[in-house]
Amino acid sequence: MTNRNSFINIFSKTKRRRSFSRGWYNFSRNPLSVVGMIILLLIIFAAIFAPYITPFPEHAGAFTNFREASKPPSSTYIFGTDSIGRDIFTRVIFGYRFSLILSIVVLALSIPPGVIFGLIAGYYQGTWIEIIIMRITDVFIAVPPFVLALAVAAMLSPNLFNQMMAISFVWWTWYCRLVYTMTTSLCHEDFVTEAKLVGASKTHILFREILPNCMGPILTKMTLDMGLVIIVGSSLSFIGLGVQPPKSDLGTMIAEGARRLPSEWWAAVFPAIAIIVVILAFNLLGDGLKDVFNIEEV
Amino acid sequence: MKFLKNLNMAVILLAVITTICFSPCFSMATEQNLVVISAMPVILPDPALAMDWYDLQVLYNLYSPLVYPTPEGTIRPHLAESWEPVDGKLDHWRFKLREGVKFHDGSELTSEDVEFSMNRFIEMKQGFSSILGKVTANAIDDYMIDFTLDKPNAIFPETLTLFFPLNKDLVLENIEDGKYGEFGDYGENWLLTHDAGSGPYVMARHEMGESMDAIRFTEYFLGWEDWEANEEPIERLKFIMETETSTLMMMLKNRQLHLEADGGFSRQVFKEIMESETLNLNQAFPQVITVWMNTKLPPTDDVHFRKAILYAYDYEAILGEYEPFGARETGIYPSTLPGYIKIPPQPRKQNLEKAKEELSLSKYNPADVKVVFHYCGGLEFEQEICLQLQADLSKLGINVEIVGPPWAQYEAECGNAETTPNLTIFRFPLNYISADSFIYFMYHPDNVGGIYAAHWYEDEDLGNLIGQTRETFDFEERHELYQQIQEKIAAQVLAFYPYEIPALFTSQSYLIGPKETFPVVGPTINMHNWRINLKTGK
Amino acid sequence: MGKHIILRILQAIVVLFGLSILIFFIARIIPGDPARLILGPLATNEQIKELTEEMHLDKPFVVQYYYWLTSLLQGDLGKSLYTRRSITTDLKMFVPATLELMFFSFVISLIIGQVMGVFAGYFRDSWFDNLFRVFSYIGIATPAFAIAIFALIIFSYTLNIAPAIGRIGLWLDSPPQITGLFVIDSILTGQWRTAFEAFKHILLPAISLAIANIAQEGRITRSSIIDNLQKDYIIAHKVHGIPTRIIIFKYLLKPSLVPTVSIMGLDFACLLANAFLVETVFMWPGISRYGVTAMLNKDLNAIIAVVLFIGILYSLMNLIVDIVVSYLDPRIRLQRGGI
Repeated sequence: MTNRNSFINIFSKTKRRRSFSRGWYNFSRNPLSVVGMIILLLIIFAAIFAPYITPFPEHAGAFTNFREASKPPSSTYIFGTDSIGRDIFTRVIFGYRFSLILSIVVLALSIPPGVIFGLIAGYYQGTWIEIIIMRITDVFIAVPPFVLALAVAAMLSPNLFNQMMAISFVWWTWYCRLVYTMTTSLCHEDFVTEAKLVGASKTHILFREILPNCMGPILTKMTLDMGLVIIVGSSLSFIGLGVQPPKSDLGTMIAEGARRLPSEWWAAVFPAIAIIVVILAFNLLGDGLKDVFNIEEV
Repeated sequence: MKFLKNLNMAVILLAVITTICFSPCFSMATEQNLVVISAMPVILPDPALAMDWYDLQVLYNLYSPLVYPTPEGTIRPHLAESWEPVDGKLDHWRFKLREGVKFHDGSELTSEDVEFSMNRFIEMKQGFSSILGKVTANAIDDYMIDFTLDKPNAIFPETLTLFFPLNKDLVLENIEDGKYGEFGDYGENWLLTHDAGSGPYVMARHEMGESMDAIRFTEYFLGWEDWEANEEPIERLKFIMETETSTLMMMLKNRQLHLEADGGFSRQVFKEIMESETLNLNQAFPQVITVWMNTKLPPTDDVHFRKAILYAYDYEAILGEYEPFGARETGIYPSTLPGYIKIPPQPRKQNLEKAKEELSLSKYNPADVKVVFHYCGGLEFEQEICLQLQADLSKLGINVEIVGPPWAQYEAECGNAETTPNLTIFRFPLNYISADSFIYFMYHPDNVGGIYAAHWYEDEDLGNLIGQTRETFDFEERHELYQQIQEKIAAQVLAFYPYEIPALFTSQSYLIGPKETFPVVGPTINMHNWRINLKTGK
Repeated sequence: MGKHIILRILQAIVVLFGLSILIFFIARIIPGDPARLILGPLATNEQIKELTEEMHLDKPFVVQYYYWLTSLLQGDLGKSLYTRRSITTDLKMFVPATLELMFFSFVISLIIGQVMGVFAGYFRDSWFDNLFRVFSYIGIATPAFAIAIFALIIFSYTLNIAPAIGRIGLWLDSPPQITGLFVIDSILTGQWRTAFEAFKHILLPAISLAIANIAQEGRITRSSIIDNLQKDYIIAHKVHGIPTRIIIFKYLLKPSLVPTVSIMGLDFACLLANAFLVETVFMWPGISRYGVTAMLNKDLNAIIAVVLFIGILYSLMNLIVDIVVSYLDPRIRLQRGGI
């Protein structure tokens, strides 16, 4: 579950960006990626329009109906109801909202600092700047990221924002290392040397010359990480450090459902399947992007 | 494609091996006279460290208290034969001990052991010792002991149901380095995995966080007779530290668990148990669900706002058809105790009209305020109450924010008036058998703050009145005072008490008992109180 | 080579030192009042104040860290606030359980992952390959706790063929502690029944923990087998009529192992993290479950000890992987100078 892909060095074989049509061709050759993309689009659509497409949108808010509690799947409640009498299907769709928001925010918070530190460390290779930055990232990856995120999340009050903070706190290092590795190799490429010779500024070299060539791997890793962040987030929720009730959160739903096994199996099984589907979709899409950017796992 | 054939073979072989590995596991022989009891993850079986009800349940098996609660809500002699205040002064008590009580190593219990144990209890300053206050013990002769208190306390004998004498010599033999001078660590470390008691069972082994084994103490001073012919004493106990409800239910069905003493099942499961022929459901001690309202934090600092919450809550919603698992009639302390009075709202029903009326009297506009409601993360029933109140208050236009932080965080928040949320929910059982257990520790100004008093209301008059109860020796007189106090507290609306729920313990039907059910935590699960019928069982 | 290893060890020590500061800091600012937690809800403010001073909790962070570090150097990890015992005793009890679980799932994932990967790669596009690819996609996408819950539902609750919790049945005593691994200890002392029970208990958690790794390792092995199959020397062997069995085991396996072994450190990290969830679901009395409890209960010393222990285990594993990889493929040693 932990971000296995983060450990994998990804680097691009090509130095310059390829044309979009060529990329799309590569992508569409892999039917699984297209399936992943379609599933994902469906999930995103459902999450955005959740209040309009779910049968009981009020069940995602301040609502209780103990008379309908713990009902098995039926035509009214296709995934059954939970112990509060809320429709699990509705809550799963709303749960996707939080999963997607979680991973988008975490990546938005952790990629910029990670990329900037990585660029700087790579550019100032061999100086104390590199040593300090890279040793700090070493500390952060000295334990599996989930363990550190768990420790951080436990010190904050359990809610969605703090969960995002905790995961971002450990996540930036992966982008730092990825960009660092790429920058160190790109620094010796001809186009960087040329830019240096014509007197381009450091910011120009870092952000205009080197960064664009890192975009492929970053984008690919981002897609794969979307799924990973959802896994980490739901694992934290599973332990009890999730969003506040009555908001629905897939990890919390599974944890609460697990307590009612085996008689009320639906309360845990459907949210679990829902989470697998979204992560699977991100992974399939990520695999397709690997083909597009011609990236190899080493 | 010869190789592919081999591949198929390999897959089949693998399947066969897996099947063998997973051959049925419930065929295991079980020991005849063993009772497996569920308990919480970490048990502190040291009388000076124990601080929760699940610790007490174990302690009552390993140790004997000085006095014992009764099912009727009073106390009776146990290790002590009789007691009285010396010269009628309530800060000086004399206890006469029962003669011939044996510790597990065969030595006799004398006042010297009691003196040592009391000093140890008070000096270690942990667990329930703060309930007793500052006590000094003085052995008069072998069976006579004096306790001197710092303040008069008419309820002192009742609090001694939480005091379990240890075997002085045995403890002293096993002390390690520690901070208590000549007493080292007071045997703290050794007593985690051994016992030095005189209770009906002897600790045989304790794997902390996993399980604890105990065997019957045949020379227990109350004896093992006076039961029916086919009802035999239980020879061996095994406490397992397991709280996962789905696992516990499965173990009950497979007869691997004989007594579930956590009471953590959902109502649906309890219903299933009630209808089952092989399982019994026992109602043990009552617990008052208490929702503290922080009187120092807006908007709950307004008494009308607090009253509005009482009327807005839909008391019928959660329990509905599950009425036996919780009474709606609740008040300041458990309704079974003498002196209990009914407090508003009466009848206990949702009354949105009344709630709106109270709200209009308050200085807050519902749309401008937010009520923060915290519960201990992972507690299902508490969360349900939070959600119900949230749904009810949303009808009044009040926004409720619910958070379920982990216990450590939750407890720390309640230590300070500024960090205590508007509403906090707990379930409180009686620690010792007196209304004092609730009144003094929850409403006396000296004890304000913390989870037992997260309302932060301090009132001198109320304090004096409560102080007076502790100086009143007469039982009836004291209860009149308690009634006055309850009315005063109810008028201030320091808390809202949605339900009184019994702790529900599930047992296999061939377990006979409990012979007596006590309204306090602990003694009901004293396994001397239970027997086993080996003919119908297993 | 020796110099390289020593350098790596020194680096690891520096990193672990940094980790101890980081985790110490995190543990101290977790809200919660340890003194209040020890003394129980009925404690008076005076008692709490006394204990806070005794535990140095009123001192600045740096001073607290100094106290902790000096006692650590004397081999004292402090006392757990939760179990009230010294952390060393707790670790002695919980670590073997986790190591046993890790060991089993590591072995399971290695064997099954390799075998499945090799077959899937060699018989590319066969039914087995397709099945394997579906499995690996789902295996990677499923959070560990979900796997554990599905395993419980299927094998424990529905089929009732696997025990749900713990390391050993209730009616058996644990074997005398030699290695601390129940299965091995009971075999060493000749308690076959206990060994069998312990093995049964570990199977379900170990497999749940291994699934993700099986999927990942199998996938990587599969793709490297496919890559190597297209290499000229393999094609030449095929043309010369050398039997498939020999091609696979003699020529294909070793080069295809390199990518798998080099991500083994990461697989191990994955096991370590997933253990936090799997141990929680299966009530496995290991260090990870202890760690979760410690974090939720603000058990200062235990949090630090658990995280540091995991850090040490993880750096050790990475070191071993490094050595194994450079043994398998000398070229890699040269590439890994810097980072």
